[in-house]
Amino acid sequence: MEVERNVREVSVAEKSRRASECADAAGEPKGTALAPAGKHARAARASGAQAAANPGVLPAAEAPRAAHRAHVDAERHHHHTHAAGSHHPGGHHLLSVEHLSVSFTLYDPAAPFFSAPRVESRVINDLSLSVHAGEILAVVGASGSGKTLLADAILGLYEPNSRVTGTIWFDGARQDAAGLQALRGHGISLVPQSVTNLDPLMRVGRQIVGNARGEERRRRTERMRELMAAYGLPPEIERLYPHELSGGMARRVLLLCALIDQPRLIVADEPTPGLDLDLAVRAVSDLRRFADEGGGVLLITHDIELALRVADRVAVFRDGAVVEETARENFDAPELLEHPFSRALWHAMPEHDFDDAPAC
Amino acid sequence: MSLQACDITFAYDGAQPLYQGLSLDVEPGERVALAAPSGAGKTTLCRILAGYVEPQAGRVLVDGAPLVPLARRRGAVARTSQPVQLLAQHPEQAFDPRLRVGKSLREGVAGLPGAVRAEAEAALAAYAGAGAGRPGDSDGACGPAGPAGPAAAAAARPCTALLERFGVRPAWLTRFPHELSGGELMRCAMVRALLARPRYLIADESTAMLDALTQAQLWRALIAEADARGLGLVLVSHAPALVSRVATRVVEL
Repeated sequence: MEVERNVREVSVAEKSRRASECADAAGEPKGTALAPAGKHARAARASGAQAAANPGVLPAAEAPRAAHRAHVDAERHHHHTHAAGSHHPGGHHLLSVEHLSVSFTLYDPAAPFFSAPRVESRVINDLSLSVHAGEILAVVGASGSGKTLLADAILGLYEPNSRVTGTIWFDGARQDAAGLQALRGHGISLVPQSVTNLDPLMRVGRQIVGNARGEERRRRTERMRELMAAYGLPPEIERLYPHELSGGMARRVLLLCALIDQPRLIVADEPTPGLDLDLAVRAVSDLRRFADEGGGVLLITHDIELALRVADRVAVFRDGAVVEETARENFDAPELLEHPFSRALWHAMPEHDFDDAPAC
Repeated sequence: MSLQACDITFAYDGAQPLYQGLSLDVEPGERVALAAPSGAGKTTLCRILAGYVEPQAGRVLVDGAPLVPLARRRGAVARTSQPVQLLAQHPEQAFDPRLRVGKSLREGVAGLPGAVRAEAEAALAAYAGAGAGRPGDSDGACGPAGPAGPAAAAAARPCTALLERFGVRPAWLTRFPHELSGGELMRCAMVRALLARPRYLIADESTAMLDALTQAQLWRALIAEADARGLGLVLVSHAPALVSRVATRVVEL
């Protein structure tokens, strides 16, 4: 029944999945299947719907480790649709955030200074999203709308006056605050917004290796050298200070600081501030590669054009909630988008109508 | 009658000159986009045109009269507002962090003649007062919030109309810059620049950090205002789609 109602989304994902399966069979890397899948996604509506209605064509999923039933690649669940690279190894999402709310208690700014009562101001309101292994999910929203608080919540960073409710699952296991804190740097890593997050007084090599001793330190140094070679950083930068690096190198160092912990999920919070689109796409290509190797990326950005260039799926963030989480291909035409605000965003892009109609 | 840059030469200390003998002419009512790769000196040219930086050679003429660089404005000239206003890329760096936004906006009208200035200041104060009286509408409401009660009489004033057209909410005027988002501050920065009644406006990557919807809203408002006043506009943008939407002419540096 749900399948029937959402024939369109299912068909896009189903077609994409089949395209990637074909690619697998042909021995091609999965990344190359993305483009044809997107191109023909809309054309495949009818045939895809039939296939999706018949569960027999879907791969058998393993028993669910999560409390809810197993997820399969192409179906619609948790209010989102899938892209070609969206997989559910083990029958669950890599990261699943459900009904997340973040609110802050503060003194009522409108009341007289000495008698102000405490009020609760809700910044994130019933937000749900999921990141699959092997994909980049871009969360797109206006600046100042609370996107960074989402990253903080996933990393288990909470302000003393904040109240966070909701459920976060990581790799099929339900997490609490302590669990998320334990995962920080051991499964989930952050790539921060600004290169000023590097310590200006510490050599780059030491920053990447981090605080480790003995055998562990040797292992991490070895891994750092492998990573530096893999990401095109010359070995001599190990001895440099951050101000001696170019902007692009400093950004790679930030990424390496996250990769050294061998994370499964990277949360990247506005990783391309001030870069024009082509440079930004190049900066994000390292994240693309991480995703292609099976990791998951949550890319938080204000830039819808960047999101459409690099992400597999896009979550439209507005007023503290995700109004639509959908495959990038659905941004090819406004009628493929479900929510009026996503459509307003599409129409507002300079490539399209440059329309300023407020969507409320 | 135009904004002219004549034979501009500029180099930073110890570096190759960015340009030698560069000339540019912007007519009122025109929207000129500057196109060049990163590091070619687009932002520097914007700052020269707005009088923030002085070129080593050449001069800038505004409707025939030489532009007085900000650092050289003394006496009677210093009490008028600069006829070329610059909208910076990072609005958070364009506001005094220790002044409430309303007070920063008052700086926009500081250079106007006496009576007009008094009226504009009164309108700003009334607009902010309308926000203080209704704290509930500071968040959540969508679109420009109209003034009510004591400010109703002020609604007809051009200053108040401008604030409303750019969607500046009354409550923002009593906040500090760090309490507003980038998009909210850019709305205030555009209003402040327009309050100074410039003849030319320079927008240097002004909406690059904003989401697509806010970007479209602000450019629509800005173009409407520029057309109504016959303003000349210079813009710098890395986004080709935005340039082809906004600009009437593209100049390669």
